[in-house]
Amino acid sequence: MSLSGSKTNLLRGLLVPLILLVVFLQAQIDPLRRQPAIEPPQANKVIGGLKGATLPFEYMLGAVSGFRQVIAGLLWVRSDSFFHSGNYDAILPMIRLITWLDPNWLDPYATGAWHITYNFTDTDQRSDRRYLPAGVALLNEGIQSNPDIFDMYKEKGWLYYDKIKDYNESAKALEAGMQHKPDINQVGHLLANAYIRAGKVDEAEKQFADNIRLHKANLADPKANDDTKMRSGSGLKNQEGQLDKLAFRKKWRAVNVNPPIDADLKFQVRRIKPKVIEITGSWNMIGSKGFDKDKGIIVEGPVDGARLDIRLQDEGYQMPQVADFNFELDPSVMIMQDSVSVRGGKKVLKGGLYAQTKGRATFNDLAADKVGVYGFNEQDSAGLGVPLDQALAGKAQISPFGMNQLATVAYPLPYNSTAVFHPEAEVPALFNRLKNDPGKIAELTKKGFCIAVKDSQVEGTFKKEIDMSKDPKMYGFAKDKYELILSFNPRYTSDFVKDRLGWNGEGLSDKRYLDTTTIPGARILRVKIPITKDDLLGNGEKVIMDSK
Amino acid sequence: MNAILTIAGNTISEALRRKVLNAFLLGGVAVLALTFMFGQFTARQELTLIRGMGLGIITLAGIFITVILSINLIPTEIERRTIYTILAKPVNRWEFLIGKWLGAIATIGVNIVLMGVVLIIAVALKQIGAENPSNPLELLKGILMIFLQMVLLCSVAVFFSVFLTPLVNFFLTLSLFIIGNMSSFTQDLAKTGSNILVKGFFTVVHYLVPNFGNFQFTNPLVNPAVEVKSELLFLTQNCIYGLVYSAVLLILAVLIFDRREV
Repeated sequence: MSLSGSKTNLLRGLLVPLILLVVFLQAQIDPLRRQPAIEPPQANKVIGGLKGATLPFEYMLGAVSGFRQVIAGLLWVRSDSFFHSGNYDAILPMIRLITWLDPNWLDPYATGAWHITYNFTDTDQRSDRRYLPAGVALLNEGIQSNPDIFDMYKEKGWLYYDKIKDYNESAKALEAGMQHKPDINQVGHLLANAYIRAGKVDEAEKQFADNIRLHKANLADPKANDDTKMRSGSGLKNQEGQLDKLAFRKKWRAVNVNPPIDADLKFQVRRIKPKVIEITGSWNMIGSKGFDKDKGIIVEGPVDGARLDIRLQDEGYQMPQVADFNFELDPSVMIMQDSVSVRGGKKVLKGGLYAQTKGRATFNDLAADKVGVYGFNEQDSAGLGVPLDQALAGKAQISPFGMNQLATVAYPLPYNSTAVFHPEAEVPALFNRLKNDPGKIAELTKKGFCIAVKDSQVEGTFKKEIDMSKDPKMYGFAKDKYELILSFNPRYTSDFVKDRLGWNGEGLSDKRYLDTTTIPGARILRVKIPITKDDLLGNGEKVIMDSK
Repeated sequence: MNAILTIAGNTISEALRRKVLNAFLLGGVAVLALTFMFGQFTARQELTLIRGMGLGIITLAGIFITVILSINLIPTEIERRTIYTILAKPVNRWEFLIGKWLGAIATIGVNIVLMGVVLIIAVALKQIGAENPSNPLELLKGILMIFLQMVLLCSVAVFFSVFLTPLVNFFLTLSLFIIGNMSSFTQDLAKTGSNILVKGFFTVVHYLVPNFGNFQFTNPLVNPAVEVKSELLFLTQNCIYGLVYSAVLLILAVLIFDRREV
């Protein structure tokens, strides 16, 4: 049966208002649909693509037909397989496309920035720092697309903290992250540490206190789940410990930085063969060997482990700020960054205890190390002192400090003791006990312990060979002029060094290389050595610079 | 009304008997199960992948089920000559058409709901013990949008099926689906076109071509941290849009089918 004429006319008449309603609804839907949370504008960029990052047609068709997340997911799975097979270059265009297709997906930004800034390395595992601006740009894009989520700020803060070592920028990013319901364990804790490394100790103290307050609030929140409570509980414990340490470090570092030490940095830069340089030298790196929270530094002396940064770069290179993430590198730019640690510094004062290493490379005795007993090899210890049994027999005078050292080495404190030495009142008794214990004396003498008959100090040394010949993609040597920068920033050295040098290097000095201008508020060691292309590429050995 | 429901019921039974639909359903469920293959990723990444892939698979399976089912609704009846038997009874042509359409919608709905349930269960299972889990039932919003998208797609295919062959209908419907998903581009072109003719053309395209892109609600479901403004209003407007546009297409189909010689 067909429709009657009137019904047909009714249906025809209905069409017009319904079509108008469709048009009206579309006009209402458009502004809501085009909001970034539903339809991120970046997604349309895949149509244009980027040099080296263009979607195949079928993927593009899928992406514009409502399958953005599927395509992004497939690319992400594929990039993961490339990662595991070590095909790192192939991942970069995928990250570009994924972050366009799904700009609200946080993991590709975070993993991508980590991958870019950490995983491209030379044969000796030195990161390709030309990628740092791209890594920052990618995270900035992530922030721009997800401004109300803390994760991207945290990632940016971590990149500046750990890799770029610009603690003010790190703190800035983390401060922004703190405005967006952060995970305190991740953002708040790192922010406090960024403040410390930026030399802002008072801000760090305040941040630790804030973190404690926020953790307590989480613990008191009846809506918080078990996981949140567990994390807040451990976070609270950690931050209370940190705040406690900060309080006594503040107190003692103000005192212990005086008088400033003379680092006396000396170095030689030598070309061994084309594109291979060797940096050797010494410096007087003093730190805390034994520290007591109630007394400050008990024993100070040369310490191992402080690192000298080495950076070879194009003359005048400054890390650029890149507005848009692009993984294409300028092959003419060259940056090499590495570091070398100082080792082997030693010191003994007349009447003090030292150990003869007797052909061994190092002297390993934790209890002795803690009380400032160093190992001296035969060459350094010639005429330095007498073996312990002879000293105790009267052939050398033992100083009061030496007696303290000896008592603690002979009768070590319990493993979990926070004290450095035995209490002063107990030392004479322990010393007498030792004098009447020939077995112990023989044991210690056999270990190489001696008493110094004069003062001696040997500076720590460093040596690093940097081979740039195996990685032509990273080290193109396209420019004619370079600069080699050697630097030491006390702000991010170990705490046992900072205990002596202070938060900002207040206890650091050097006649030639102290730099108080490059990093405002910090006293660092820094020397910039101009180097030519010929210096680096020439044949044969050549001393490029000798500070002596 | 009884005639419509009877025809709809028959359409559902017939559709479910057709193995091609079951194959799509099984395929969809199997691929959803594949989403558990992302164990190498962190829990958060895995969930993002499962949600995104899951909704995508439901959409893809939904498109094929909808198009293949809908383009054959009327032509098959004509080809088998069963339509003559039905129309010889006291059944209006419009009742026949609406009944077929309703049957198709119900079949599509059953398929989408089944796949949606699997996805929700998958996400819920993956979130057991997770830190700050999101509500897996939120995915129902996306599943509803996919269903409405398929309702509109079915209406398009049914509209074309009253005057086009299934092969032409297949390509035309799929083309319209793709164009309709690119409505952001047509909207942008309508605003930034080089001259008034171009602007006018794309304005008409944007407002009159069914905007399947309206129903893309995957982003906030895959990335639960994003905040959608006026979500309820948006979803409601889309529901009304899908139903009203379908009504327009069905009225046109009824008017054409009514005049067609069968």
